[in-house]
Amino acid sequence: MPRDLDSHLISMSRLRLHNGQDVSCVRFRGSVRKSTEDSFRQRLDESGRRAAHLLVDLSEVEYLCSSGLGILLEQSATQERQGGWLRLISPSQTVSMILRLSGAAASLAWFPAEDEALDDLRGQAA
Amino acid sequence: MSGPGALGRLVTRMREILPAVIRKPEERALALLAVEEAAVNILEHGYQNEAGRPLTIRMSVVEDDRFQVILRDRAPLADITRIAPGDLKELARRRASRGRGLALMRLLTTEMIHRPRPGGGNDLVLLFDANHLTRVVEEHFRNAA
Repeated sequence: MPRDLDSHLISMSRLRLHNGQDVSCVRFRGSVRKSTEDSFRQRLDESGRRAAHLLVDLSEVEYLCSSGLGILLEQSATQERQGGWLRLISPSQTVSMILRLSGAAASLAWFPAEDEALDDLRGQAA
Repeated sequence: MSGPGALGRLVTRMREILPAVIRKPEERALALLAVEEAAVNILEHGYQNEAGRPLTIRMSVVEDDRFQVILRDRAPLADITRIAPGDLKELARRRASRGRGLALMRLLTTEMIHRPRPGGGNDLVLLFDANHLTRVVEEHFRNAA
């Protein structure tokens, strides 16, 4: 990762329709640390408001600080209150390790790819 | 100095230095995590996010696979080694938004020492052992398998 991304966080978000249900997808690139945690929180919040189900792609996130972990767990609880969920897509090796070390791995589901995360999402009855 | 960019500079410098002491990248990332959590604690709680305050970080090899990082500040006296860290699993279960930094520092270091500085401020010494970091990684990945 270029060094200038150590203190930067880029995000891309979109809305996906799967089996008749909206799924909000947000992909981050860079690092989640003190200098970028506000942006991380804001982007997650914005994406989470679009749909009850939220996919967060962390494959290009090289670092996640303890505050970032807390933000993810909070957002996960928010999605569940809306009747949905938050699922992680392909966290990088370092982020996976931090999730496991912190115990957060037990509270956050993650999947290797977006389609696998949506496997159990069935269509809603009309 | 504290303020915008301080952590970025710290991370960049640590990335340059750590490979000389820790061979495995995942263990370097964990050592960096502990140091960064300690630095954030000083900037947020010690300096209340005030810019322009001194924070010096020194790293040195103690012996073979052991090394220490000293964070030196001029913040009000605060001995974080006396604070009982939260339980990481319990924090995760409650989905707590804060309180993990100190627990992670404890988990990743073999010892933390606090020394008041003459004239005010704190020295926080983080002692690392590459073998301990290896064990931590193995334990958590084994448990996850």
